[in-house]
Amino acid sequence: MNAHRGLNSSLLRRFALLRLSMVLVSVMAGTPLAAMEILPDEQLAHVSGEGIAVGFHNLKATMGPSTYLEATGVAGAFPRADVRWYGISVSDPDASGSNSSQWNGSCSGGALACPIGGPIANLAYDYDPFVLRAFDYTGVDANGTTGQTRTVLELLWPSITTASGSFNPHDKFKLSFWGEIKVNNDNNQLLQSQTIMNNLSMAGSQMRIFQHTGSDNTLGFQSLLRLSGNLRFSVNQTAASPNAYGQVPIFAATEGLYFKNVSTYLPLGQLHYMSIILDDTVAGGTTGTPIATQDGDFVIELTRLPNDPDAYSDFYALGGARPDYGYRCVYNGTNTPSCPTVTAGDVYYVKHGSWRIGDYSPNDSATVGSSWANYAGGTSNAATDTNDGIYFRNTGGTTVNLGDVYAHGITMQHLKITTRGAGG
Amino acid sequence: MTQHIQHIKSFLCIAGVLVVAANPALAELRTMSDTDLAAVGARDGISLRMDLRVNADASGNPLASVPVNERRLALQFNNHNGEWLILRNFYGRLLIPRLNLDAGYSSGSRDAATGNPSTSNVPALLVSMPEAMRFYNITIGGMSVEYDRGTTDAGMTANVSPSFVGLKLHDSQQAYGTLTVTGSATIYGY
Repeated sequence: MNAHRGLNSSLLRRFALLRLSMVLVSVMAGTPLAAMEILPDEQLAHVSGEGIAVGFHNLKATMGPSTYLEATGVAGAFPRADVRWYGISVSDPDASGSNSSQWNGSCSGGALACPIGGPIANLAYDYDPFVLRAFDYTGVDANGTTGQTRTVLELLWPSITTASGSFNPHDKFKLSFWGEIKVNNDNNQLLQSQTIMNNLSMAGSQMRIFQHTGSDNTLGFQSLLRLSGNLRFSVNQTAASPNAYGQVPIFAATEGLYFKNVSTYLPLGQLHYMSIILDDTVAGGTTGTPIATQDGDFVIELTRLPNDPDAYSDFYALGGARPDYGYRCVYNGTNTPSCPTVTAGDVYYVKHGSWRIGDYSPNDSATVGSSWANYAGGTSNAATDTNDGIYFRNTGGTTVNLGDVYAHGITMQHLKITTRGAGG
Repeated sequence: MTQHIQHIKSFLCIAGVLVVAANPALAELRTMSDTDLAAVGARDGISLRMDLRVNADASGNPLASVPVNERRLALQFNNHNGEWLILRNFYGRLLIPRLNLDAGYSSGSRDAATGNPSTSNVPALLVSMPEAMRFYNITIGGMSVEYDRGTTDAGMTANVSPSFVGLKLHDSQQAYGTLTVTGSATIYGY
């Protein structure tokens, strides 16, 4: 009897969750909510509202081969350039090539030879889903004051990065598009190209929006981007390709610039005092005051690291145990997921930005403070290596390998991008 | 257990009725009894068609009745009073011919007590899009920053500054662009 009651309780909870989901769907559909049923307290008690989890199964998302996203420029000091990204597609890497296609036709070879594969079995397992939630993080603010709370709305990618028991990281995927640059608004001045990113993983990536404080109390973003995979950029088209404005090209199978074994961790922003904000170029906007220079330009800024040792020492996380301000506070199915602590024993690349092409790299197990000898790792590439590093291949298949590159310990103190294209 | 699953499906059916309740023609719907509901399978879930036009006709072309300067989306961020990010000449049409919603269970979740992955399933919303989404001329003619000036010249309606970039979602070979999505999404709360 008790067991039966337990089952009912469990089902009641599940039922309540479903109702929550349905409320969300109704909101999305624009339905008047006046007729919606009120959830009784005893059912609401089982819904934490902590967040929404999304798993993706057999996903394949392909824009039509001639469907494009276009960015149009304006004539100014430089020749006008209009850029289109066509056929943006997310699919399975399809290493065997048995399920691959070109932008407009069949394709053999798979992997980096073909832009589109089959469906991705599990871009996000249900046990390791995408999570959209509101969450409070506690950390150090711009003045070095500890214990400050920041409320964020965040999107977390699947967080499992290594297989454990019967649970695996999300399936890797392929992201591709073909591009077209039109110069001087002339249909005959074109550069068409193809970009294929294969075997991609973004496990552990996080994006947040919140209110930035300190330099400017405005809308702030933080992006902790983890990305690994292979990339090919090519321009050569086959003889049968139309090679004309807006017409779907046929690209050669092997030519191009390759980046193999790319792995990057790019932390943009620190939750409590360093954010990506949007701004303008002219201070002003006061009612009644003329604006001296009105250029219409726009600023995207990663705000400055505060000049306060209590703040920037915290940022570098080089010392002993300290809270891990968010970057591994991932979904674990509980209502109050705990965040791990960064310790001196944590591997270096977990705590610092890095950018790597090729396998020549510091030993991934090297920890902060370990001897330099531990930082050696990887192998040098042969001059014609096609499995690693940066290399060019021509249409005949001749390869020139340039080697590997590793930028280690990336920290951006300040980044400011100002549009200078406003011309009319 | 099978019966419980059927109850959940039945609830989905009710939600479906609620979704269409905005249609005045359906105002006469009567309440179904529990007995009636128990007999409803609702195996096909809900299917929605979503059609959004902003300043545009069925082809996504801008409406002549809306002046160019009125086709705008003006954004102002906190602590930036008097400053506006203007998306100019904003128009287009987005059509989702079919969005299917169904109920089911997740295929494995993490244990609520330990935080570890487990195989205990939770009820979930299953979303799929069996027909391609369509983009008709979804356009932002240009983006620019404008400022409040004087006491009557609000920045959100100003057209003084030059634009720095425009965006468009469309197709080079046919009347609309497409996005085809196979597979499904499992959505659940926790």
